[in-house]
Formats: sequence, structure tokens, C-alpha cells
Amino acid sequence: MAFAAAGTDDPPEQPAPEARLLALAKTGDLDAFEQLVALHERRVFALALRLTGSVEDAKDATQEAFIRLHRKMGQIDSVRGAGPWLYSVTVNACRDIGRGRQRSRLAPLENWAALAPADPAPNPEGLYAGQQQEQHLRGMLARLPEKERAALLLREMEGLSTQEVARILGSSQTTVRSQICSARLKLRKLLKGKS
Amino acid sequence: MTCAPFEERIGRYVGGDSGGDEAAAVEQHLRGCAHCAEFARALQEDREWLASRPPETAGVDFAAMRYEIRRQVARPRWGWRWIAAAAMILLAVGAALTVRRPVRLLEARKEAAAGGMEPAAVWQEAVVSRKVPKSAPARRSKQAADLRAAPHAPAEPPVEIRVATRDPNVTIILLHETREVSQ
Repeated sequence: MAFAAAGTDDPPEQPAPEARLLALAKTGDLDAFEQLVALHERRVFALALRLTGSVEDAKDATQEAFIRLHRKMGQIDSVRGAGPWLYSVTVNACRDIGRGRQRSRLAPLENWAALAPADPAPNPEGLYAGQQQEQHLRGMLARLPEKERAALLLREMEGLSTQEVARILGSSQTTVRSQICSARLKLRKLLKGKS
Repeated sequence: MTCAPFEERIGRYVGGDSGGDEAAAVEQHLRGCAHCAEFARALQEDREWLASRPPETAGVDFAAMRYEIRRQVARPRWGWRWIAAAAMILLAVGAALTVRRPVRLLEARKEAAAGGMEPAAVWQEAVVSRKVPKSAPARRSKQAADLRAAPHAPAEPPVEIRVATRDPNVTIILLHETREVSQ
């Protein structure tokens, strides 16, 4: 039996337009910067939302990430693109927001019922359908420890390599592999329990 | 029910994180254990489900967010370098304005000392009121005499330094008032 190891692949190369936008944005072209924001905003917001579990916090983290991107534009490698850098800043911004509000939304949420739908999915098809999927996913992610959640999201949902995830989280690759594996097993138990 | 010792290994294996020996051991186990093979399949399905999830937008108005980001990055920022530079300029201006007075006062003191005047009286005479105390001796310095005779110089308008802040409603105004000593 063989399983695809999609997570170990390097992320796909950024398309040429992003390199052009980055080059223009570095010269102070705000229109190019805005297009760059439009290119990444949905993925950055989704990551922040799944990390924080709060739409308002995710919006704040997204704005902060792009403002920091503008300040540090000169540090962005045009070949690699802004994606990995933005993910790193987003994770940090989410942590900052959690600390700033004196109640970390990155900590496992006690109120699982608030995130889970009122009517649990009656069957696996229902579980993986529409908006409920996202609610279930966020509810389950909220029950994972902060670092495991971030590692799992970056690796499995954003498709980054273990090396990239380790760099973003400031951990070793061994630690990240362990965190992802632990998160994967916990998620399986949660999914099994719900279905 | 999975074989407990293999659970973590399978978790690593499906993500491609197993080393060569471990991967071979897991594959051999999966060939002979239906429960663990089912567990591995389920983990792989979970991975595929996660990877297939579209970015959640939660109905956010991204155009409005973009506008706000652009508004914030377009606004000139007072970085720490600018603040440090402004502080240095203010210090330099303040120092220049302050140094002028003591130098003249020192000269007046020297002359007054030669003429037998008390330093405190010179300070009062030169800076504050320019009145020569009645107890001053007859032998006054030429400068002290001039000070007494000279009409009070009109006060100079204060130097006003305005510092704009990031908040358009807040402006810091520094006033430095000087009073010249007539020569």
C-alpha cells in the first residue's frame, strides 16, 4: 500500500505576475501592492480564521500581515513570492492578537458547542457538506494545541513543505513532523467521533 | 482498533515523514493488518479533505479590507529614525537658544565682579528686571550703567516649533521664549 506524500513536495513556483507585482511594489507602486494583496488576501484570511477561530481577529491579523509586508517589501524574495513570508507574519500576528486581548484565541476552546453546528451531521456526506464542513473543521482545529494547529494548517492546507513550516514556526523539522503527526491523529479521533 | 505501537508510525507514514526503515516496517505491517490498513486509509482521506478545503472567506468584504490596508500604508509614518532626527533638531535649536544667554551673562558677571557688584544682582539686572540695586557701589561697570540707562528691550516673540503627529487632530507645539540682554 502506498500513500502520496503530498506534504513533502516543495510548494509550486509562484507565477510570473507575482514577481512583476513584487518588483513594482518595491518601487513604491501602490496599485501593484494592492494587486499583491488581492492575490493573497483570501488564503491569508482563511489561515488567520482557522488559527484564531474569530472573524474579527482574522481580519485584524490579515490587515496587520499586509501592512508588515509593505514595510518589509525589500526583504521579499521575488522568486519565492510573498506567500511563505505572509504565512509566517500571519501566524505571528494571530499570536500577538491573542496576547494583546489577554485571552488567547489560539488556546483550545472550551466551548466546543459554540463552534459546532446545532445539529451534528447525521452521516459522513452531511459532515463533509457545505458550510458545516468549515464549522466542523474550525471546531476541531480549536481543540488542537496552538503549535500543532499551526503546523497542520500550514502543511496540510497550505501545502508547505516541512522545511518551510519549520522556518515559519521557528522549530526544527523533527519537531514539526512530530506536531503534524500528533495533530493528524487527534483530528482523526475527532472526525471519527463526529461521524 | 489499531495496533497501538504502530499508530504514530502510521501517522508519520501517511504524511511521508517516515524514514526508510520505518516506512518499510509500516508497509509490511499494513499488508498483514486490516485494521491498521483501514486506519491508514482514513488518515489519508483526512489529509485529502483538508487539502481540498477552499479558503474560508466568512463573507468578508475584501475590497473594503484592501482599501483600508492601502489607506494605512499610504499614510506617512513617523518611524523611530524620524522621531530621533526631530528630537535631535529640537535639542540643537534649544541648546543654541540657551547658550546665547549664559555667555552674555558670564561676560556681564566678569565685568560686574571687576566693578564690585554681587553676582546675584548682575543676574537680576541682566536677565530678569535689569534693575540695578540701590546698594550697588558707585563704581559700576560700563555695561551695568548702560543696562540701567537703556530702555527695556521689547520681548522677542517666542520661537514656535510645531510637530505633526500621526493623529491629524494632535499637534505638539513647543514654545521657546528668549529675552535678549542689551549690549
